[in-house]
Amino acid sequence: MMLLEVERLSLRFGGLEVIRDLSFAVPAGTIASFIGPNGAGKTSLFNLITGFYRPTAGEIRFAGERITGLPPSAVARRGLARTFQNIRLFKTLSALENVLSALHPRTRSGVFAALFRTPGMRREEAWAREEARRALAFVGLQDVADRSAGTLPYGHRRLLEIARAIALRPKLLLLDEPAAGLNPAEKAALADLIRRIRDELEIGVILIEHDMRLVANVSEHVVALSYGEKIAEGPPADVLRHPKVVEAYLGEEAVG
Amino acid sequence: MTATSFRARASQGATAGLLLALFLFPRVASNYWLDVFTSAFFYVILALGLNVVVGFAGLLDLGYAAFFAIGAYTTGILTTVYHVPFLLTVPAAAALAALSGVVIGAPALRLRSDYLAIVTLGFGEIIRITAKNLTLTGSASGIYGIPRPTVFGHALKTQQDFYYLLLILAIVTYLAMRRLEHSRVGRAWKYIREDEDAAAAMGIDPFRYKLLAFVVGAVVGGLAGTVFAVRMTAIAPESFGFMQSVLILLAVILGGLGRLPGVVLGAFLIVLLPEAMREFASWRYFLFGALLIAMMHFRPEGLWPAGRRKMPQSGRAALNGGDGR
Repeated sequence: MMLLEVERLSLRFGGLEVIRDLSFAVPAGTIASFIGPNGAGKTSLFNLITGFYRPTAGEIRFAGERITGLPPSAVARRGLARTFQNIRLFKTLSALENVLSALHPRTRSGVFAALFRTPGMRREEAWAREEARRALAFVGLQDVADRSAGTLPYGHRRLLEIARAIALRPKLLLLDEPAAGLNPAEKAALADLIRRIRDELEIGVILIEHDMRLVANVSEHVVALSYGEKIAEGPPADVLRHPKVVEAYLGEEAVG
Repeated sequence: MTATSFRARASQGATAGLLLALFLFPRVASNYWLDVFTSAFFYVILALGLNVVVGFAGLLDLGYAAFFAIGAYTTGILTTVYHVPFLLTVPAAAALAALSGVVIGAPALRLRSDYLAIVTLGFGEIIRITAKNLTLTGSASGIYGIPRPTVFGHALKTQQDFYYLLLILAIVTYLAMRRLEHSRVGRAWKYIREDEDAAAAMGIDPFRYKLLAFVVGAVVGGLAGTVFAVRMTAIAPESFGFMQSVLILLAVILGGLGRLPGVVLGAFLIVLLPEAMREFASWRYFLFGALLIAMMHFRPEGLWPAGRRKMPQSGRAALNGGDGR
């Protein structure tokens, strides 16, 4: 079954074509990668899929349902989680509170439950905290649960963003350059984490990544973009050697 | 005993001592000081209500006095024209304030926060000018002869009665706000304030929660208005002008945006500082203003802030000349 299907998608900002007539599909339970030089439209594609941008034309289907034009919060509630290229945590809140944000769609206490601290509200709160702690432990951050997110070291902040995203219990997780700024040891741990997310949590993963070794190492499916168009799609071994991909990354003379 | 539990106990002890002092205050204080403190409690309630919008959700509301006016006029009209008992006017005022919160919030909250500030400013003026021109609201002279209320068989008449009523209401409001702050709803507000996109990516609908913050703030303001009407027995449009909205906003920002003890402190300051400077006669508001500018320069995070925290974007721009911190 195809989990994510993108059909003839276009995005234009005034005269600038960011995404041009793009179609591809990612099967359920896959680790896939979007690659391409800077400005190829990868992050714009993430923003389109998660509802932050509205496409100029085309359609996005998730788990068989059309999600084109839904607002970001509605897309998230349907099981699509994401991280951001420049890490967007709630900086003054604790690591645990950050992860608790993802439990929001699976809880329901409102103003009155809060004012009267109903037994249902207290049960729900305890459950949500437990669930958030589990997500923190999954990425190895159980010991920093009470520290404020802004004070965590860079590598931990990347992990915390992933913990927050998996706590949403999505079907698909979009990671925008998760390895950026990590050292080799952290990158190796990240590759393991991505595999564990797919294997143990049964969450499909799509990553935007510039580190081709990581791409080749973890992904089973690669979509290569250049100037908003798909230039290659398939298993990493084929796509990374594809002449158009080599050309896009190195420039024509290097190939010529 | 660890250092943190010692600090917690010390602060519990200080709170208990302060509350005891406030409950015993009428035994020693003159009517004048009772009146000043009753006003302070009043601003505590209003500032706590506005804090939901400005502090928790990070929205700039420049017309908060409008909700206060709606509550006051609802009670004023229902008790004088229709002879409805005070307590029955309370739910009516809350409902009307909530409704106006939705009517104003629903279109305005879809806009960027700078526009929200303008829309709320306009709304505040519309309410005041409407009250000034309708016969139902008594035009410019307002409504007078609002009967003193009977609460659970006890007629509230004296200065002291209102002192205790407002003290208790301020405490109840404070406790309610603390529960809200540490709940799922309170967290949703904070997530939106910190990073609206990240909150949306976690399945939280920012619009829905902003509207909820607006409505909760409106209801608190409306309830404060009902009590204001019966305490004053007369209300006039000029009590609900732009300066009133600014004063309440000052209380929220002065003490420390979003942090409840700071908001209470801020409310006390905006009532007590002008009183303390009374001997400077007409200079006192000038001094008060100079003091505020100095404070915004040296302590832009408020006197009693919650850690390091961002002010709402437009609030920061408006108050710090746009350069933030």
